Amino acid sequence: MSKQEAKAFEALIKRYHPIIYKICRVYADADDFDDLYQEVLITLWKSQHSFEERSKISTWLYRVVLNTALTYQRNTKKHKTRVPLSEVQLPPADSEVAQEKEKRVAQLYAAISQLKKDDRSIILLYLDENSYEDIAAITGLTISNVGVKINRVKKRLLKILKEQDHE
Amino acid sequence: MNEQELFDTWKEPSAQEKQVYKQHKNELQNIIRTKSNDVFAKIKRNIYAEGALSLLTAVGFPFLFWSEPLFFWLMLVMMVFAAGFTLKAYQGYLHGLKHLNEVNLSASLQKKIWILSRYIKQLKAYGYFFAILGFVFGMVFVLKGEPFEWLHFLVISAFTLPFLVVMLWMLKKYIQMAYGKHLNHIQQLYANLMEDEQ
Repeated sequence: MSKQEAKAFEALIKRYHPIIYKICRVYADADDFDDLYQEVLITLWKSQHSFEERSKISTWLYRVVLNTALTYQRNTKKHKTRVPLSEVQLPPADSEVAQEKEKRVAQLYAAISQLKKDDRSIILLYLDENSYEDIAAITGLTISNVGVKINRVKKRLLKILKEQDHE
Repeated sequence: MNEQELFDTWKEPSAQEKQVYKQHKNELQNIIRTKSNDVFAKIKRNIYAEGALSLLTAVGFPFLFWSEPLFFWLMLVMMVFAAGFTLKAYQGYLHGLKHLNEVNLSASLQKKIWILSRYIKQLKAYGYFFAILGFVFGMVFVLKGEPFEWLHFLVISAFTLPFLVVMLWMLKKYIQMAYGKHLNHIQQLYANLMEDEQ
């Protein structure tokens, strides 16, 4: 691995960390998060040379990360050298507003986790404000089906969130 | 939560998100050097190992029967065929494993189903083939040199057949556990993803 390659990869991860983080959080619970995150980074590293500039880099990245996350199998051997996410010490939220915000974010992830695995891909692509064309290019669905699926999954998600509010 | 709140909440970077980036940033070099745990990466590693093992077996196994020219040549021919088929199948997998995660979700799931189905079929075929072959040769070795007697044959078969059945059953269970469950999961995912597709 040359220094230049490593730098370019670091820059890619830095730029797209929010997407990678969100996908891993949607597909893994706290115990599996680190394993999936690591798996995604390994796959991205191995796939980076195959990126063709014909497609957008974000489309390529979504494909690699979602494909890895969708079919990821839990690793029974834990990586002991690294600190699991569940043990990461979060800085204390400095205000009630910040606490409330963290709670809302956690609620949203919990609600998305209740959806079917393929529906989670659709909704997170939608929430990331990808166009229907881009979602179709990432998933391989037709544009009209993307629209139908988004409406259905969105309704289901809002229903789950509503039920969470009542609890 | 309404739709706008949904977008706003989604866009908010959580404290955990920032923390995870900081935590992994310094470990990036180590992470990318580790071996992938993905089942398809494991299949790829297996393919190289099994390919080498098949060749070694094809060359070495017949020599166990060196003292029996008929067995030796029979085994040699069978092993050469078996190794040839194995290498051909592995070549197909290696081609299929290229760019597995870089195509769209539907195409990737299809490819994964194809690879896993074929791999399972092949594992079963080879496993059963070698287990039965071993059993048959074992029987022939035990019985050779003696005049054939049905009673003797049936008694030996009654003792050894259950071992063969248990071995085949264990092989089937292992394949189901290691690969079959994953295949069912991917097939289900693909069916769900494509359910409304025309």
